[in-house]
Amino acid sequence: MNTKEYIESGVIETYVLGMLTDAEASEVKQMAQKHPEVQQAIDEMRSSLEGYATAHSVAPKPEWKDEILAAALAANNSQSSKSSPSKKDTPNEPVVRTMAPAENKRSGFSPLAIAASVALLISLGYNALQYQSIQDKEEEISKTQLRVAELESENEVMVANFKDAQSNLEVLRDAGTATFIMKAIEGRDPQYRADVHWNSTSEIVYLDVKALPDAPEGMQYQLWALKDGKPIDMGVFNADDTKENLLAMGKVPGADAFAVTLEKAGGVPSPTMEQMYVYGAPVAS
Amino acid sequence: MLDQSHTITEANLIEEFSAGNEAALSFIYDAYSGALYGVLLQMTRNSDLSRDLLQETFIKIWKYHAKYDASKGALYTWMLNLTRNNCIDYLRSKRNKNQNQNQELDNHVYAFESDSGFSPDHIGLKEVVNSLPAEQKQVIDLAYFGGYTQKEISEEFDIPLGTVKSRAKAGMEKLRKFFKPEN
Repeated sequence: MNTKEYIESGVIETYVLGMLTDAEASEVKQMAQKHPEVQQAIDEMRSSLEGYATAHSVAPKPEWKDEILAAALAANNSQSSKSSPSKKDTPNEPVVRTMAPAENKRSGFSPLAIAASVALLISLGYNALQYQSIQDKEEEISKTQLRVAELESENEVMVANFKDAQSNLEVLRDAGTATFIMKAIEGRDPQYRADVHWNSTSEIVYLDVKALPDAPEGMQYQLWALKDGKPIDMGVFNADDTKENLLAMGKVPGADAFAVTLEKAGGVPSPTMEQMYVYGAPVAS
Repeated sequence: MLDQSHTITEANLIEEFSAGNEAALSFIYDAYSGALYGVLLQMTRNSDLSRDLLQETFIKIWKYHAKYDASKGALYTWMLNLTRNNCIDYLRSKRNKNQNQNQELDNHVYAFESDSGFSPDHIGLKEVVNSLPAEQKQVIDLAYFGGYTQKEISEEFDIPLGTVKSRAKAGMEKLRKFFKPEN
């Protein structure tokens, strides 16, 4: 596992939250010592968690301050845990690592100066957080606006698709619609097939290509209605034109059969019979 | 500019604190007791007990003042860890009455390096909480305020371990976004 994967694994979060066993935690510590990025990730998360802790602040009662400070000073002056006014004895004194000796140099600053600085820092920190929070919110709003726009355009496409599907369904369900199944003619791949739905009221011919090979460069398929042995041009199309929806072709008052030929792109006035692919009479209903 | 004044002032305060200046302890109490008491209230859900533990914590803070090492972490981090460890010790000894678990403070106290110093105590809790889904908050609170390990959360609250981990991760990510340091 590389460092990035390690950081993204979630182990840092559980470490900072204190959710790991001692053994697991010391593993994380070792990683942090070896990899500054891990240490940095720990610092960042710990800092967020401290922010969370701070958010729960509750001011202690004012009178406690003197009591608690007096207890702290008294306990440590007598060096005896007995003198602790706490109700119970401090359980198991913590072992504290030996540190480099603290510098004892006194700097002559007045308590008032510290107080002012502390107040200023708190206020600055608060402002910074508020500012950050506002910026985050603004970023969130612009992201949301972008998402809304995306959804709107997605929705337009969906509505259009739905309308197409609905009108296709209307055609197919209409009692005046007759269906012609055009199958491969002899010598062609028997898989080839295209269906025509012809509505007697609107006289529109709808095409549904089930399987036709892609037309070669510069060529297109052409649909013909056959009436009394004469071909009537119903328009040109490509093999994949009806992938999504039925394709409305030409109008014809009635037909005995339909056929598809492969012609030069744009179509021709009369069909090239050797180039016929599929042919079909109406399905008996 | 913020960072610089920050460091200097904290450094001075820490110098005074390490040297045993009682006035420094008083400042520290003013600056941090609200945060520490708030954490204790979350951990114990009991204001009398929290007050006692706050006092215990300050006894320890003062006892170990000379041992605090600023190069190992921020004062706030040190005090928060001292507060939490002391309280977790107490809660655990209550939870397992016959089993006295003494966690060594040693590593825990300095577990985290820090660059953060004084923390304001005015950040709206409601805002933070609103940014955190309830099930993620539960895991974070159980771990941070309850002192539970991930295994304990999984077992006692009947949440699959993987879910505990992913909720902790997602929740921390939300907090990180909320408290994102300026840059």
